[in-house]
Amino acid sequence: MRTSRVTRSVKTSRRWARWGARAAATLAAVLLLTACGSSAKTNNASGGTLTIAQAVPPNSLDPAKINQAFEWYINLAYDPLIFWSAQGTPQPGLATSWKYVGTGNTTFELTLRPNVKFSDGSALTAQSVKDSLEYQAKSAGQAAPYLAGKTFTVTGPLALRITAATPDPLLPRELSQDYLAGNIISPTALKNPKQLATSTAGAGPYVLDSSATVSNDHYGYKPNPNYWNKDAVHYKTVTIKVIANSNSALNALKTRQVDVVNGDYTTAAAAESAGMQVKYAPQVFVGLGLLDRDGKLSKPLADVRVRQALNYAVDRKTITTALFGKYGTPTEQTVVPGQDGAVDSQTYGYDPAKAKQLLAAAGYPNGFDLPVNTTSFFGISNVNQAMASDLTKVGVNLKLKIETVVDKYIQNMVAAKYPAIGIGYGGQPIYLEGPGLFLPSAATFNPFKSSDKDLEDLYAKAAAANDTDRKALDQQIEQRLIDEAWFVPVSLSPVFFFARPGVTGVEPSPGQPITNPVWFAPSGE
Amino acid sequence: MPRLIARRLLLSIPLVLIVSALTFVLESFTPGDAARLILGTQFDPARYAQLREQLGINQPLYLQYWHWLDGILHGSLGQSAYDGTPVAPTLNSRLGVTLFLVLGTVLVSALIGMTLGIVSALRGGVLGRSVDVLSLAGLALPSFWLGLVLIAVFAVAIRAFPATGYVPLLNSPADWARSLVLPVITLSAAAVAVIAKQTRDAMIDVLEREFIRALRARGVPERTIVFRHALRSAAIPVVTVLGLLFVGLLSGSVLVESVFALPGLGSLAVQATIEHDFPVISGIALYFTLVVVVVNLLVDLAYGWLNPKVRAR
Repeated sequence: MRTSRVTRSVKTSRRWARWGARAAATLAAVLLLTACGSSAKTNNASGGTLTIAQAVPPNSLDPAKINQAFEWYINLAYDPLIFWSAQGTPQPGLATSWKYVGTGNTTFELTLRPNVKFSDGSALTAQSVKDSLEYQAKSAGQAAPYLAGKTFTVTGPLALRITAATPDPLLPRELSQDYLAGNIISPTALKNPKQLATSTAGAGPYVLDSSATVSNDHYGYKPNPNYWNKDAVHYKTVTIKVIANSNSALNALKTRQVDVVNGDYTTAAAAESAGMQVKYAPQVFVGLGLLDRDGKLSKPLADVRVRQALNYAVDRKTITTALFGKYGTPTEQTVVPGQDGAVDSQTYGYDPAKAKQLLAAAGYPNGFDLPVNTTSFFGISNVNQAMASDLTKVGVNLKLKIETVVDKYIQNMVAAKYPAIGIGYGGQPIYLEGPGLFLPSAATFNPFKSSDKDLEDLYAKAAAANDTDRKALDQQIEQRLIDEAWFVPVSLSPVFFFARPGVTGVEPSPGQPITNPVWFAPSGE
Repeated sequence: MPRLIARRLLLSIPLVLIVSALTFVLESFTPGDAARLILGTQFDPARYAQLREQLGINQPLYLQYWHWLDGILHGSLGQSAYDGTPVAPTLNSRLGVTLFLVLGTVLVSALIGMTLGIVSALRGGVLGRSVDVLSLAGLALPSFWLGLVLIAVFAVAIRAFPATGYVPLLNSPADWARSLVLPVITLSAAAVAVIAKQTRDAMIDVLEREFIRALRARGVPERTIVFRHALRSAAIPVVTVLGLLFVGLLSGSVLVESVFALPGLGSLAVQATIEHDFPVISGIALYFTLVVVVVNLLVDLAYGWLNPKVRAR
């Protein structure tokens, strides 16, 4: 009885084992057939489809509301008045010529390109440009501050005058693609601006194809039939695919699902070893912002010698090499080399002895504790942690509070809760850095409203100066920031673009770190 | 049966209210808001206030919640606070992706897991222990890590499956299946282990019962005993696990959708949370709640089908 039961059990097990094996084999066959069913879908960028990846979907497609970080989504559809070229020079866009009139950089005149039509068929006129700029000025978007206090006067069918209440020497830059204001919107679309959030109405090479778009996932563009410069249209379709994870984006690039991705330094080496083009340009200065320059929360920071000591105590070269490898650039400045304000000379070498000496002279021979609010975003806290090690050697203990949620970090900064912050600030021409970084009006990065009369006088003087004089004045502003040690910049972190071989035009430069997708082209062209 | 369905549906109303209210309250605790995110580092108090008003997030939380509820009663889930697009079409376009991913995972896990469980219950010994080891290994593997490994091997090295993205079923059934293979395998690793162990334990328990011995004594064929009688009894706890698994996979899909860049509700939930997009987050919570209600209802119906005693109650 027992024997027969065991035999039956063994037989049954074998039967089940065979059944299980068959089921597994069937599943494997299905997978194999699926894998072989069609070849991996890839892109061929030779004039067909260009697919580029972005980590985050846009908050809006309206140039007056979109965050500057998402400019690729509108670069394709909106030509700016002035193109800022890959080399960092102004080039004609919808405006063919422009100039400041008189002295003081308060009157600026533009002549517009004739015979230009928007994607909806409306004509480009001086009035349409005026309407677009006024719409931008009234919005709460990022372009609004650049247009605040300015009036726009139509002086001819294709001629416009901009009059500024206070000097503004960088209107050509502000009216370029990167600063959003110059991306001109069709007058027809402005009659119902709500539609601009989800559609495009520009005079750029492409127009959003709503049938090829799934919000938050991918955005399809097709050529604008009315585009004035058909030679600049390199692809039949362009798709921006949202891929949040940087490793996934790199994998998509390796498997030819996308042609260009906005990369970062954590995946740069992997992209390079996979044979991808790795293009980068220095863009963001990373280090410490010594915000409490009057010593309200941290008394030592009120003494310039203490702030300078912190600058002497940091070994920028070692930290930069360790964290960013060959892609990073050590810096003690807030601007990128080659941009307005960049100075050639070095003020602070790595000199811990000098740092200790300055601290002792300021009355802190044993150093002090410095609370710092920082964020893991963009690797800022990594730099701060490396700095902390150097600063400990001169007795300064950074008490780092690392926020993983960027919002919380910004909220703390705006509320002036910490005397110092970990900072990552995208280098701009020094005039544009003023309202965002160091003038008393800089709401985010100057929450204690630090004021320095010399700095502000220099800023005002540079704003009204001609180009030649302004160059020297801009450098004096940057040197003043360095001497007053309002910041401890350590590294210039680069902006990265990875591209498949076969795609050209992905060429960031210090003068124009954000490459424009309308410049991407198949290598055969 | 109709009473059961009606009762379940009625119970879902307070459930939806509680979940959505909790979602609103919990989201309000997270630092920042959509306006702050849109302005980024170019923060300016006046523009911030203007943008908050434009986005409708300057109102008290209870009013925002009331407007959202009012919208639902009028058949609208409102508009995204982040990009202004209508919420319902966005969610509808993504629901299918998540459901296919989760359903595919449940089916694959059930097929493999139950097969392994039945075989090991009947054979025992090394195979039984192997299922235990497999269970632990499957549960221990982080899904995002497994996903990245699968991509590296099967997408980047072998090029058998796409590394990222999703192809709608109607566009190309073959490409649709290919786009789901790696994500489904990723999610199935832990699920197979759980189901296999549950099935094995339940089958061993049932196979030792008196009624199975009686059936064998009457000469009923072993296949009939296993399939028609033992498996049916053992399936009740397995169905419970499948139901729980389905619900758990909805949250598990969040990571996997991000790794494979699938446009599902999980990846949207991550994005909307980062963007402080109340209407979208609440819409996703509503969809997930309704899916959970439906799944629980189906599990209850399955109990009735598997066990006549339950049907009689």
